[in-house]
Amino acid sequence: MLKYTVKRLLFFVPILLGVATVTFFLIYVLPGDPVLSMVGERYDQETIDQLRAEMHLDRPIWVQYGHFIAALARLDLGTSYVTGEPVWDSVRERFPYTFRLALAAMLISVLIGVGVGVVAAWKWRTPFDYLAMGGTVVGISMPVFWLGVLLIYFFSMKLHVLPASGYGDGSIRYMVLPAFTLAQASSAYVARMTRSSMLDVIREQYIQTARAKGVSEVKTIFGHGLRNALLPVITVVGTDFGSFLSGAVLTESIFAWPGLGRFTLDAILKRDIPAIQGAVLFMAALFMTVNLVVDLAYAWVDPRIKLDRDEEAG
Amino acid sequence: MAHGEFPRYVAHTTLLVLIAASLAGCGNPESDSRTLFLALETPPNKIDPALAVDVAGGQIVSLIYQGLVRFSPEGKLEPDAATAWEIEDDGHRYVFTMDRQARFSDGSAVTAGDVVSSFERVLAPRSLSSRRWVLDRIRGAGEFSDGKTASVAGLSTRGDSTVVIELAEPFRPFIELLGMPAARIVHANSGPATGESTDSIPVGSGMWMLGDWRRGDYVSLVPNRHHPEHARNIDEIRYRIIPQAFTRIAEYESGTLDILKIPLAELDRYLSDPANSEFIQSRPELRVLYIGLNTQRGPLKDVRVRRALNMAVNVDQIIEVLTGGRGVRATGSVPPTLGGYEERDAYPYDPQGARRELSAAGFPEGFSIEVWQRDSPDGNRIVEAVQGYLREVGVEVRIVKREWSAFKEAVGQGKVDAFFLDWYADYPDAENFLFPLFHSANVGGGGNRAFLKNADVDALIERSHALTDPEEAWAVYAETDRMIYDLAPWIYLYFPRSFVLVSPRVLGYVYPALYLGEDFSTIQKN
Repeated sequence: MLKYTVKRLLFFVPILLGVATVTFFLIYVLPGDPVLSMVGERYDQETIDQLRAEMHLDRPIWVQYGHFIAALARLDLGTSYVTGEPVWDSVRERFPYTFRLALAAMLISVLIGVGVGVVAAWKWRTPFDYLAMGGTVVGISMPVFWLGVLLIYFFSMKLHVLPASGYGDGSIRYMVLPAFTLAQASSAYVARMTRSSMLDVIREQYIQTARAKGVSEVKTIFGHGLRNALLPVITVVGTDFGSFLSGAVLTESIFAWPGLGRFTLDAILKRDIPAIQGAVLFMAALFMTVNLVVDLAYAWVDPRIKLDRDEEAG
Repeated sequence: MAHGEFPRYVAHTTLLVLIAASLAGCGNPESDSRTLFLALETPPNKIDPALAVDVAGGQIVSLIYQGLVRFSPEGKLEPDAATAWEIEDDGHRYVFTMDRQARFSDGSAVTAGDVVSSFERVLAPRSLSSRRWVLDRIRGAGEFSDGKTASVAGLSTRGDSTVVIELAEPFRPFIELLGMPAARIVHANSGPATGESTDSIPVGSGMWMLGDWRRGDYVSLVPNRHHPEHARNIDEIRYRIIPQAFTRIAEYESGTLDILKIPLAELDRYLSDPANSEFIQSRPELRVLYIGLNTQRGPLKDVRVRRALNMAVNVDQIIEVLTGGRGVRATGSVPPTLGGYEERDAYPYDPQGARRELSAAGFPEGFSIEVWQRDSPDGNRIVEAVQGYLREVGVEVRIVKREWSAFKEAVGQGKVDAFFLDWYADYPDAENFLFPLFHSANVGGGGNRAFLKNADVDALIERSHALTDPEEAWAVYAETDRMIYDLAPWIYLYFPRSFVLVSPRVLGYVYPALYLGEDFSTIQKN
């Protein structure tokens, strides 16, 4: 497994290089001038030229690309055009907010998704099953923006029980609404996946054997069935967690959450090239790491899976 | 760990997390009676007088840093770090007497030398300030910025308590420029304005100082205890960054925001609610809304076409329907509350007349143009209404929506036929509308996005600059505005009125005429 992990980590380098290259050229294709975002109204060409020179934007694109890659090789993500801060510092400052939110959303997604999925499979073709699966269709279909607004309306404006937005003092109550909003679609998907997987598993012979041996139904389902049904669920949860970390832009925007999603959106709107590149690269690295962890988790959950071919051959 | 332990492990972890969550959830709500909670739509980019270019940044800079002068909430010029000033030599020289009580937040006195170093910091050759134009009328500013001189010839001091500023040419609104963020005073030992972030922002002498700045979340200001008029009833102003209008409304209605700028779409709801209506404050904004017409492109080069477009749009109806009649129709660019405004006849709503004008200009079948805009609910409604009116006279409008950066680039380079935009005053003077928006020296990025190039307009604007008598200047402003209106570089829309809802808990707040005019020193919160 160690060899496999090292190999996967080495693959990160060319992939990140690819991401960096694509991001770099995509930004240059986009309309909009980063310098114009810095100067406000009433600017003159002299100031624009000076700023462009300071930021090396007056040089040929290949030279700029060379500088960018050389800086990356030194693990330098550059300095934000807008704030003047090193991009790595900003990413490091904003990421923990996103990480907390993503973790909470994943927890909610697993608890609700797996819980509902298992019970729906257990109570297959009962009103609970139909109701739960109907609910998951609503959950998958409902836009994040709409759910966020609804939750704020009921829990903050009407019931006054939870804060409408912000990180506040960092207590969990500030995280409840955004985490539920972020977890909504994922919970529904995990529930459907768990149900489907459980339905396959509980028809297996070893489950019938457990029942024949007089093992309690709860223990049969949760002790024997669930663990074996979890493999596809782990894939979904892992991928969703990666998405939460890199794609919570809408949720962070609705709930004024100071995370990486809003940082990236602000950077894109202001054409803050180093900040966009830094955030995208960081998210790509994060996504790959999460995927690697998911793959490693397969082997842990299902010992039959061998990640190293050499071990398989052996 | 054995594989068989997985479900139990999950159960235990879940239980622990839930317990931790419930314990951590016992935090106190944000309802501190000595903290004023406000909202910003976008985060400030930089809190530095030399580098702040956005409204949020300017607003905060104006609280942290004193100028020689400042704007009151009513938009009037008043002393700040200077107690008095004299204008000498036919407007060439300004002599300011410094307030001996003025103190930076570190306790040191604000001296005339700090003023000079602050201005030179903005004008310095390596400065990345795009606001040099605020100070570039000072004699020798250009040479200093170009690195040809070691100091600005027109800036000098007489001891610690007198600053002398000499202008290259008389410029009547100069005194108002000194209230702008770029002319605010920072401690003489502040680093250069090169855009590189430092651990701390420059030290200021305003009523407030930076307490904490969590980027993307909030900016917290605390009273500068060395300022003689510092706030005594409020311990903190917390500007929260809340991008979505709905979320800001929810925060206000949950009692966790103290002042709400009311979105147009919500205005009737609040005005008709007796529980809220008595806490609404409103002001005519120093702002004009318009559809800019690029006077150098296609059919829009012809003044008859531009006048026809003005005649084709029923602006009164737009104001009535979209704002509930809460705007003043623009018959020029100078807002009604400024000197230089005059009432004049608007272009009549006359689609038939518009068609005749278009025919006379050689476009009997009309033509097609693109109108660019930034995506916004209010802007969308206005541009779509204009699109409908212009279709009636044969002018097909294709609406192009772009975010600000792409919009600004294309419009500033003259690549766009027409565009919907507004213009806010930085300082309360008609010059702040006429010069940037219509002088040929400012075509494109300078503000003249209609690319109007008219020697008579230029000459009148330049003449107004040197007039020291306000009444005389206002008469020239009015004449200039009239001349420009006749040239129709815009489809003139209206001067809006804005509304804020102030929490009943907050006493003593005055909604300022200018975004730089916030004060908060006398506010109380119950």
